[in-house]
Amino acid sequence: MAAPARKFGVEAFQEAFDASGDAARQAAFNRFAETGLPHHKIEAWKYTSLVHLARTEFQAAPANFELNGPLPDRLGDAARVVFVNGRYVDELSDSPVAGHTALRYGAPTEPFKLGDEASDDPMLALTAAMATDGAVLALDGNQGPIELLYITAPGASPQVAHTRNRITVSGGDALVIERHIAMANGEATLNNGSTEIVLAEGAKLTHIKLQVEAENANHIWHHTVSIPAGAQYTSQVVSTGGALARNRITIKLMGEGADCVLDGAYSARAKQHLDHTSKIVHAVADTTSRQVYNGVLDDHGRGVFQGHIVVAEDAQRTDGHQLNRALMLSDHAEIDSKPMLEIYADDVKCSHGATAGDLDDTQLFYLQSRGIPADEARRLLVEAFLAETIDNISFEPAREAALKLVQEHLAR
Amino acid sequence: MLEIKNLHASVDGTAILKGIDLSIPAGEVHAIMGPNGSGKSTLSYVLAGRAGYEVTEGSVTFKGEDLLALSPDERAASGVFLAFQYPVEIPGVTGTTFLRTAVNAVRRARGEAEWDGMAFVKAARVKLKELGMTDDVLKRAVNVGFSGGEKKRNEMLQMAMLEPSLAVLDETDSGLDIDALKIVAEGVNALRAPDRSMLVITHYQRLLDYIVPDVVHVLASGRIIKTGDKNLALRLEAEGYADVIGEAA
Repeated sequence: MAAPARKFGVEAFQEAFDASGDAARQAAFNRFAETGLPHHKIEAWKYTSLVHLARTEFQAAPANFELNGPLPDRLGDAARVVFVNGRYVDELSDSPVAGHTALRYGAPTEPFKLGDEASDDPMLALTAAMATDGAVLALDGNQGPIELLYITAPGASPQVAHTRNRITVSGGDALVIERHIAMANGEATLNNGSTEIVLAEGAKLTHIKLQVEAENANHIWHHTVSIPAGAQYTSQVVSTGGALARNRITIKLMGEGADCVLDGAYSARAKQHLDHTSKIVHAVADTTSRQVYNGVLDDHGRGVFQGHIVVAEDAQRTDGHQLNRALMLSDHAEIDSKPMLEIYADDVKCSHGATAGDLDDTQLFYLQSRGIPADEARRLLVEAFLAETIDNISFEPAREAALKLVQEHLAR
Repeated sequence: MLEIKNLHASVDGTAILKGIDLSIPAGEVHAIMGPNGSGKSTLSYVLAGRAGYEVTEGSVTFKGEDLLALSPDERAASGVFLAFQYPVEIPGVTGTTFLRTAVNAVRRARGEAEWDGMAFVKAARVKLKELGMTDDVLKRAVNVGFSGGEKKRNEMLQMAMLEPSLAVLDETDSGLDIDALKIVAEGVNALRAPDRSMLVITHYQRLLDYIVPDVVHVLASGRIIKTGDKNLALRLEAEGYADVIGEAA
C-alpha cells in the first residue's frame, strides 16, 4: 500500500482554527484538511502550487493595525467599504452603504453553503472555515457603485487573513469594485478570500477588480458566479501586485441568454507569479461567454492562464470564446497557458487562442522614426497592449486607476 | 543638407546598395526612380536607421554630422523624417498620444520646451486644417482601420507636426487613387521650404506630376545610374526602365 500523500499546511491552520460549534465551518475545514495546501497534482493548481507557503509560519492578522498613510483616492462617487487585514473597519467605511451589511461571522445573517467549486479548491474551503469577516451586498441596481477596499497592512511576523463575501443582484445594473492594496512592505502576507456572486434573472453586474498587493504578498481569491436567464456579468481584472497572486473565477451560465464577459490585464516583473484561472460552465442552451486576458511578463515574471470551458450536453448554440495573449519581455519570463474545452453538445461555437511573443519590431521602429526613444517606445507599446482590455472598463474612475497602476508597475 | 558617399548596405548578408553617391542641397526636391528590387526602400530604411539594414561601406552626412552614428529617434530629432510606404498600425495608442509623445520627444531633444495638452491640440488643429483633415485621426488608434489614403495623409500630418529638414517619402503614391494622390501631393508641396529638402522615392512618374522635382535620379541594382531634370522622369515613363538602364550600362 502506498504511503498516504503528505499534506501541507494542515497542522498550522488547525492550530488557528476554531469551529465554535459551527458544523458548516467544521465541514469546510475537514474539506481543506483532506488535501492541505494545493499542489501541482491537483489539475486546477497545476502551475500554481502553494505548498511552499507551509514553510512560513503565518499567524492570524491581529485586530489592531496601523496604516502608514492615507487611504487611496476614492473611485469617483463609489461608496466605500473597507477591510484591513481581512477585518471590516467601520470607522474607515462609509456608513451606512445602501445594500451593504458588514458580516461578522459568528453571527451570520445567512449561512453560506460550500458549493462543488470547493471540490478542487482547498483554499475556498479554508476561507469558509476561517473567514472572520466579509461583505454582504444585496443590490437591485439602485445603490450606485460600491468599492470593497481591502488593505493589507503587514506586521512584524507573517500574517494571514481570510475574507468571505457575498454579492446578490436582484435586478437592474450594479457595479462593484474590489480593490486590494498594500499600505506598507513588511513580512509576508497571505490574503485568502472568496466572493460569491448570485444574479437574479435579467440582472446585470459589472465587477471590477484591481489587485496591487505588496512585493511579498500572496493573494488567493476565488470568485464564483451564477448567471440565470437574461442576466449579464462583466468581470474586469487588473493585477500587478503580490509575489504570488491567483485570481480564480468559476461561472455557471444557467438560463437562456445568460452572458458573461471577462477581461484581464496583468503585468509580472521581478519574480512575480500571476495566475488567472477560469472555469465557465455553459449549463443550458443559448448562453454566451467571452474572455480576453492580456499579460506582460518581464524579468523572471511568470504568468499562468488556465481557461476551462464546459458545454453541457443540452447547451446547444453555446457561444464561448477565450483568448490569452502574453507579451514576453525577457528571456527568463514564462507563460503557462492551458486552454481546455470540454464540449458535450454538437451545435456550438467555441474557440480558444493563446499567443506569446515579443514586441513588434516594425511598430517599435515606426515609433522611433518619429523621434520617440526606444525605451519610451517600448513602454508605449506595452501600455497599449494592456490598455486594450483596460479600455473596456466603463466606470471611468476605475479605468483611470487601472491605467495608473499599470503605468506605475511598468515604470518600476 | 544631405551628402551620401559610396554607400553600400546589405540585408541578411545580401548586398542591396552598391555604392550610392547623392547630394541634396537645402530646399531641393530630388526624386529617386527605379524598378522593383533596385534598392529604393532599402535606401530609405538605411537613412531612417532601421535595424537589419547594415551599412558595409561609405558615409551619410546630414547637416555636417555623421547620420549613421545616430539611432532612429536621434535622426528624427535632428530632422530626418521617413514617410513609410506601408504606415504601421499601432492598436491601443491613439493618434494624440502617439503624436504628442513624438513631438515632445523631438522638442526635448532639440532643447525646446515640451507642449502641454492645450498647446499640442492648438498646433495640431492648425496642421489638420492645412491638410484638410479632421481630428478624427487623433482620436483613433494609429492607422488602425485606416484606408490607404488616410494612412498616407496621417504620414503627412506627422511630417507637418515634426517639421523635418529632410523628408524621405518612400513610395508615397503606392495604394492611392488619383484623388488621394493629389491630396497627399498638396500636403507635400505645402511643406516645401527653402530650408527643407525632400527625397521622393517612387516607381511611377505620375507622383512627379504633382510633386515636381528639381532633380531626378535613376536607381538600378543598388547604384544611381543616371541623373537629370524632371524630363528624365517623363522619358522613363515613355520608354520604360529597360531602355534607360540599358543605355547607362
